[in-house]
Amino acid sequence: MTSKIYPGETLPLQKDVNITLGPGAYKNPITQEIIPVSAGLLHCKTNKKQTNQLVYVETKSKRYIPKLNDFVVGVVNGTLGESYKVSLQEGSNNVLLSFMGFPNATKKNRPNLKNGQAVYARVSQDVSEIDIEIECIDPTTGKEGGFGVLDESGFIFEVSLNFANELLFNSSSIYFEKLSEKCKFEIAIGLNGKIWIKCGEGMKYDDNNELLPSSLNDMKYTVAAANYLKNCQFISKSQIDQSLKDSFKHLS
Amino acid sequence: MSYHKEFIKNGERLNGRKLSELRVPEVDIGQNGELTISAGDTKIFIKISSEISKPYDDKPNEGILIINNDIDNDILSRIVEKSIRKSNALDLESLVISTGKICWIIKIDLNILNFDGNLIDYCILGIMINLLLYKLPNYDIVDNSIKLYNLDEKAPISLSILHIPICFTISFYNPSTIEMNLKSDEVFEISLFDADKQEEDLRDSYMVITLNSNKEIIQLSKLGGIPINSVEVLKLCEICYDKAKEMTQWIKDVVKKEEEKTSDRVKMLAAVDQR
Amino acid sequence: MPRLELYSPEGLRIDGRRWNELRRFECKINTHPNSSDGSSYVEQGNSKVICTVQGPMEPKLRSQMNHDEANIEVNISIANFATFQRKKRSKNERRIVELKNTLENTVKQCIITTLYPRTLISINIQVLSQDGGLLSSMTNAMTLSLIDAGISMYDYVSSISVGLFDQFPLLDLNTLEENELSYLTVGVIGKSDKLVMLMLENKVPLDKLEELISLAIAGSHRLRDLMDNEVKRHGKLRLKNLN
Repeated sequence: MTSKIYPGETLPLQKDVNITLGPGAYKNPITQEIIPVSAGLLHCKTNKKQTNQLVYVETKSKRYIPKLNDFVVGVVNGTLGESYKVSLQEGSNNVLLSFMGFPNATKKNRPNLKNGQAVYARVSQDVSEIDIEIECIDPTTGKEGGFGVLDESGFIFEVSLNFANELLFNSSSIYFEKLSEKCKFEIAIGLNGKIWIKCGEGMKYDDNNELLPSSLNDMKYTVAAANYLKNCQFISKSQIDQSLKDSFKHLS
Repeated sequence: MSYHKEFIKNGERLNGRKLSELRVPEVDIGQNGELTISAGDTKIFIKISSEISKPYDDKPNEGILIINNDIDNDILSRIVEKSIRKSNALDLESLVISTGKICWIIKIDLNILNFDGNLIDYCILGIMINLLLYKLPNYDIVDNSIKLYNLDEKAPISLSILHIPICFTISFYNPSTIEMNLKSDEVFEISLFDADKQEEDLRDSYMVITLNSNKEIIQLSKLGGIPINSVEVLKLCEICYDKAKEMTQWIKDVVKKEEEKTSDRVKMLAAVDQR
Repeated sequence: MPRLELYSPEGLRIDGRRWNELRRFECKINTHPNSSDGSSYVEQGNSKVICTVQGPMEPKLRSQMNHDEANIEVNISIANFATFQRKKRSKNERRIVELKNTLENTVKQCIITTLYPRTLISINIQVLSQDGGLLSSMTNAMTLSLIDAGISMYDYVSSISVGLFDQFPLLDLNTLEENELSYLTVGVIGKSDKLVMLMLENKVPLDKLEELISLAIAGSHRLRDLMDNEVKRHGKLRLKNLN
């Protein structure tokens, strides 16, 4: 169920169910009242057993505010004490990625990240009054779980936050299905609007630090795929095919 | 190495443009003296305003031109000054109403709304279109005091523009090592026009050329950065001249179109008056 | 006031030079051995510039430290008495800041900065007397003092200004000529044709640019030789004192 909602209106909450708050919904700690805090499309979903209700507002915002358990793509910016400084979005404060925030990391055995390298991580601490922290561990298994360093062969680009959300969570969206007709790709979507993508082998170097001849083609595909996804933010579903065609037009 | 650099090395750009291809600017003309110019995601709002004032004591025969920009960028303001004021693009002497006593003061305010590379070129382009379109109110001098008319009361005065400076920023990239750049006789540095934000971040050096369609260079600055072969520099200047000719024509078309629009409006107003 | 005759029909300029002649160029290195790591004094006609170099040294502020290469800082001060009319100049004048940035970006290209990571090289330029070619005399002085400081460089950077009188290019302008003519300052690395610095602030016909640049490059190469002579002379002197 989706409808428009503005701050100040009341949320259609059910009684006697557990309520899970998503972005855009806020619980006043004094009155315990749940209110919408942003304008946009309201999503209210109740599970089949009628025990849990999920509430969130989909808004078109550009500023990313880290929330616990969000998946993010960040760029390492430097070090601060025992942590890496990671930038999630230009113009925002850096977040911290502890040296210990990797699977099997110990004081002696820690990953060595350089400035400019990208990581896929999970927000592990989101209290905005202190430094926000991210980590590359899946908390349920304690293993990698898909997190970790994103290698330099891929390409990072930015999309709006709600589009990143759509790509990551809407399993019925057809963007990737269409893209897979053109090329095979590997992708990491951050809810902070950064997306890392690689088609084929991406940008690969040989031992002499020369670009592999086959790489250039893969890189062109990667950039075309990124352009296609960027374009998809602004078009209706019927135009997707055309956009895909246009983006890959110059490639064989 | 990044995707950008590898692409540039192979003579291509991530944004799909050719190395010497410019973005097509869009101009949105508002009321008298208000103009927004945008190219890609770069967006600049330019406001021209005028006042009656007194000339500076050391220059009694000249009006006053003030150019402000809101981001306080030294390079931007220096090059805009050199290109527009120092080159006499706006005839300051025509702004004097009474020598040493009364003159117009023209203020240009640059508001940078969004940045996606190449501010300098589009600032100068926007300022020139705006100056060409700008109308000063007509006036009469009555008993030593000045009486201004509204713009539709009495035909307003256009500014006298002596030439149209066009500015190009060329970014240079060194695909090899510093030693090769310094010692090799070959020209392998790559030059690229109208860089966007990411391309500007990666460039090794840049050169800003301002010229006009009379084949005059108004300003040329390459403030350090990787050295570029002199023959290459000359070649680039020639390319810029060709582009400047096209650009001047484009500006004239834009201005003509806009003036036709306003003259239609004036005619309509006159018709209403007659009734 | 009648216009000055900058270039007579006989081909003589206001100070008696011909079109392709430099002014008297005198330079000394190691002029301030006690107060700096490298120093030089350059006279180009009546332009007089002192340049001192401190470093490579540990920077005072952590923010000045760069882990991959040396940080280079240029400070310019122009004496109040440097021009005909005494004038107080602020350090933050836009024109001075532009010169400072230009010099910093220029010198970064010829120093092998990767050899001196985490250090600061501070270059101080003091202009005593200004008679045209401000940027070029500063560049030349800077090159010499860096050589004196023993900092590894790829090559000399030499710089000169050229002006255009009607159709004739003139080399190495003085103030009188600079005020009347449009002129171009170039900086050249070593004996190459490569331009590291280019600055032109007045109108010049595009067709004349080639002539101007080639004259400037020739002039810069000549200056490089003159500077090289001084460096060699000083080197021999030191060697003699050693023995």
